[in-house]
Amino acid sequence: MKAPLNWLKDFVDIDIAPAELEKKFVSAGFEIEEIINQRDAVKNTVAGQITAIEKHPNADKLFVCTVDVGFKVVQIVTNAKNVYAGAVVPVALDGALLPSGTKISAGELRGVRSDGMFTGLEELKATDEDFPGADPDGVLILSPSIAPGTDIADVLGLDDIIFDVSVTANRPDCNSILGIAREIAAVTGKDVKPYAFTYQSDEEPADPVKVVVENQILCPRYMAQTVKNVKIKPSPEYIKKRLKAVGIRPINNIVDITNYVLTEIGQPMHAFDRFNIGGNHIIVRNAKKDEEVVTLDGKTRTLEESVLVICDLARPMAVAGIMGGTDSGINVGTVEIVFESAKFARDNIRRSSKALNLRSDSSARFEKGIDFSAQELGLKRALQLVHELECGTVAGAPVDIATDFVKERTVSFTAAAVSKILGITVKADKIMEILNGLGIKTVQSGKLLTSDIPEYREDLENANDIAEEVIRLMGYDKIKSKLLSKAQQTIGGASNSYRTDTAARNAAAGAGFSETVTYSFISPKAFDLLRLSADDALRNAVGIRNPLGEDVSIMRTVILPSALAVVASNISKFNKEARFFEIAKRYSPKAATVKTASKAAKNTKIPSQAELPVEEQTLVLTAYGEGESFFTLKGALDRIAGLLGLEFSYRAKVYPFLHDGRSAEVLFNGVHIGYIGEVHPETQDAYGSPFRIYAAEISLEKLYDKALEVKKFASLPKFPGVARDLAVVVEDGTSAAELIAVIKKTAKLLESIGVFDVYKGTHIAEGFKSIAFGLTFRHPERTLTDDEIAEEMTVVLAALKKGFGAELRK
Amino acid sequence: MQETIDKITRSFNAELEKASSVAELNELRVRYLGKNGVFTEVMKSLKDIAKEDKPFFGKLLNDARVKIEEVLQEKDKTAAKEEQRARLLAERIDITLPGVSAEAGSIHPLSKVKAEFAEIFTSLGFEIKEGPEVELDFFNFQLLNIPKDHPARDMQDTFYITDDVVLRTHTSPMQARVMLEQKPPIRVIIPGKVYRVDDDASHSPMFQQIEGLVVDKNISLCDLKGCLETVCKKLFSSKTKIRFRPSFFPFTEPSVEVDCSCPLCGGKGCRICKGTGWIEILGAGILNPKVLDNCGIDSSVYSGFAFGVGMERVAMIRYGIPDIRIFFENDIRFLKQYK
Repeated sequence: MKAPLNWLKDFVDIDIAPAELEKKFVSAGFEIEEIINQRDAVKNTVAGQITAIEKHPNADKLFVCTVDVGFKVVQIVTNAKNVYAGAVVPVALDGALLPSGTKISAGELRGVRSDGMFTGLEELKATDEDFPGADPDGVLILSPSIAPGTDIADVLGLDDIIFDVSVTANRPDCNSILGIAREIAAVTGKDVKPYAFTYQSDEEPADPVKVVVENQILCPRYMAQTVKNVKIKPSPEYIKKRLKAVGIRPINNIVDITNYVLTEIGQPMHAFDRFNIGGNHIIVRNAKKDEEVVTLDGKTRTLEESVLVICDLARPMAVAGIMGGTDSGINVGTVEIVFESAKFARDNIRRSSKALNLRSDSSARFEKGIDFSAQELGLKRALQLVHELECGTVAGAPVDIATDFVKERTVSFTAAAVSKILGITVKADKIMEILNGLGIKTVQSGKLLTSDIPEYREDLENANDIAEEVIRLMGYDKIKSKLLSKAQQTIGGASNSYRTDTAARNAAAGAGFSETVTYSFISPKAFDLLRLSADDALRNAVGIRNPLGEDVSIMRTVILPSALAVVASNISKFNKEARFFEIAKRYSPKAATVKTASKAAKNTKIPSQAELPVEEQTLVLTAYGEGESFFTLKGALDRIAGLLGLEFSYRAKVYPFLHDGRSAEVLFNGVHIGYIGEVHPETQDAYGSPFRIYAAEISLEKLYDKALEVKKFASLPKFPGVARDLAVVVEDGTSAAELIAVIKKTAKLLESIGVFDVYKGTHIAEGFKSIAFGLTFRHPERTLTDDEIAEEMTVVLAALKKGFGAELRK
Repeated sequence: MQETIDKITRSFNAELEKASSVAELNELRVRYLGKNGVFTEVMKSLKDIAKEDKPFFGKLLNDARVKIEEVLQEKDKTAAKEEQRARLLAERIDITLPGVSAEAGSIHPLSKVKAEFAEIFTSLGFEIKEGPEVELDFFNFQLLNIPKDHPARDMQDTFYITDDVVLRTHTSPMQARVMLEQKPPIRVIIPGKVYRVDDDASHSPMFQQIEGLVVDKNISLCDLKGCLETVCKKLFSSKTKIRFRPSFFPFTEPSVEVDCSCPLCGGKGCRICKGTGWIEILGAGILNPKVLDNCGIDSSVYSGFAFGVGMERVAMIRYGIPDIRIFFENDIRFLKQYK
């Protein structure tokens, strides 16, 4: 909200410096975005009178002027043809700054000194409206009554200081000069100057306009006032100046009055040309389906039935609260008008404005909320301005159609309640002093304080609201630090899921992976890069209705695309190797189990949560660069599992985005939890990687029950174990896991087994491989004999021979 | 006999003089003191000596043997020491060469900050809870006193999935979920990802927050200040102060913005705090009684406070990171700074 100081002074005496006022504003809860001193826009530029003109000795098109700038006489070289001796013109002197942003310094033009420059409209950012009849291409000729030496800022009326105040959503009343002035009065201990309405109403028109409000829910109040003998002309300077200061372009006196009231009181107004109101009826109703109206911006709007419109008997004249129509508006020939001052339901304005993609100063105010008192005040202020500007006669009394509204509202509370919220003791007297200073009349009866809430303070409803008013004017520095001194002790702590995530994070970092954070939304095209078939379940994703772009338009069902994008961007930065991990959710649009919160308040209905997707916490690992392989990644995953107190197993499985021969599913307790593998060369190419990439993605959600379990003690063996190596030759396609499974099943005394070597080449036939196991045997109650071990080895070898045609390696 | 012993001793001493290594000394020991050594031989000759002289020569011989043993042992120690010294010298390495170990990875600065908060708050008796990111409008807005088409929704530009489902714009919906499920006293923090339609140097469409919620009897603004001051002191330094500025959030009343004294300059004023000495770090307030009532907690008995802090903002202050986008670029060279 832009509030010019001079305008504010209409309502409150301000005798402190702008910087001081800013401090008080901030401490009362209003951020100041900017303090604009209009004078800063133009420097070292004054009015000067040309006393003599000579031709430039070295240039045909230039003139050398002698100029009296009041405090001295200067010489200016110009190419303007409209200058003449005696003319008063703007002179930008050495070091000048112009509103256009141009800086001027003295110099020489074709060998003749010029102490500065004459300026035209453009450099001053002025228009024909400011200086009627000015030559748009020449130097601006000012009124001869302006004395040489007058600061051009004064000529342009740039003499105000504008506070750009940021107003929070709970204080719509402060989106007005009056509202801001009320706050200034409260923080500086001054009174707000009341309006004096001196206009007189003439007699009622013979055929007064009839108003019908068909939808009082969307239009709780509608006031209309006819004004006769209207003379459309430009507004006086002070109106124009103030409107321009707040960024509104002056149009004509009537339109300017509506905008002036909008800014000063916050009440949007509209003016209809009375003779363009068909049938002399104003009807406030919902639009008919596909009804059309041409709005003031010249666009034809097709309306939905939810949009409220102001109509005459035949057609819509305006989109209620948002924008007027071209047909019914004010024009130079207008002689009678009807002012509209209404309250429209803010949620409907908001929806309609969004639906029509049409916003205006008016709709912005309505969306924020306007109280019931503003319509009457706004209308009166408009009529007072009509009177002051002598541009019309008020004809009779206003029409006022309103639903019942609470005119007097009170809030009762005790000083003790306010003190309890704040945590400091505030006496009743102090509370009353503060509230009365804010214009909230408060009286005491015993311990009970009762406040009459002004209509413009719809935000004040209970003791908490009162406590906020009290402390923001006392100053928040009065709040002391106390560490939950009266609260009960609680145990606190982290959930198992949080602890597991943290342990997984530490384990992954310990295993050499660096944690990334990527957006939860991805491009649907990522599924093509992963080579997913058209009916792949992973393509079924939660879509965002209003994404920032297509590449961030769906919630990921798999983290891999984000992880591969990280790899790709690192490769593009010449990072030749890296290991990454991320712990993040993937989202699948399956109906979640409905959690009903049964302890909800009786009157609170919890809607079904079946619409919400399943969110699954996931760990993704990627690695690329020298030395990385399927097995380095698998080893890392096993290490992470180990640090979570778990053990994973693996089963070969083909995935569209992984190398057919180097991919597996990861299992925990026989349950599928994810995949691991080398990224498919086509996917690798699609992400622009010259390196092979290894990736794994597992559900952490499925580990929460078992991870970080407290382990039961197992007593240590008392008798020595015996180690034996066994190398067998098998067909290349045989997996170590198959062999191990058979060995484990056969050897009764086996304690543990591991693979320590795999060999293909010399002495091993083509299509075969040698695989070497280290076996440890142990008996819990005695030392094993060599014979027993030999027996075990024989049985094992026989089983391998039978199952896989294995031969002992020679 | 005497003569023989003297002769042995002399020849031993001469040989001992020449022996310097542990091996040479061992050889000497075997030759003189071994099973078939010189002394054993002489011992055998004792049988030819008169019975009455046996004790005398026997002692003489034994003394000589003990003496040699002692001398040998002495020299052994010296030799072993010398040999060890020589070996260690020979085995000397360049300890400035790199260690042989897998390089450690790193934890993202946002996770680090989150972990710090989690530790501080759990030590203050807070529970850690997490909740859904794709959330019902009902929890994200309506229960928090932000009805549909309310202007307060402008404060949080929202990603919509359907009319009733949104990407949560703050971690506050979990406040409502917790209050619906749990009875006071409640002390929880809720870390998590949140989403807003926003993308520039200081805003990211996805960012992380930690929500705090305390519900109990007699909770006041002073408790809020004390709690947040303790946290800021633990997070930054024991000298950190905080201040409140009035603000507005629909679910708290009164609402405040919280500034902490600039951890970089200690409040003197610097580039980071733009010369003010203060840095805005979070929004907070006393729970609006309407929200308590919406969530089935009797606001005439209980009160509470809530706050929400942005992890990116704290991490930017903590690590001096100038641009929020750096967090999401995931350049390995950046990430490895946070080992």
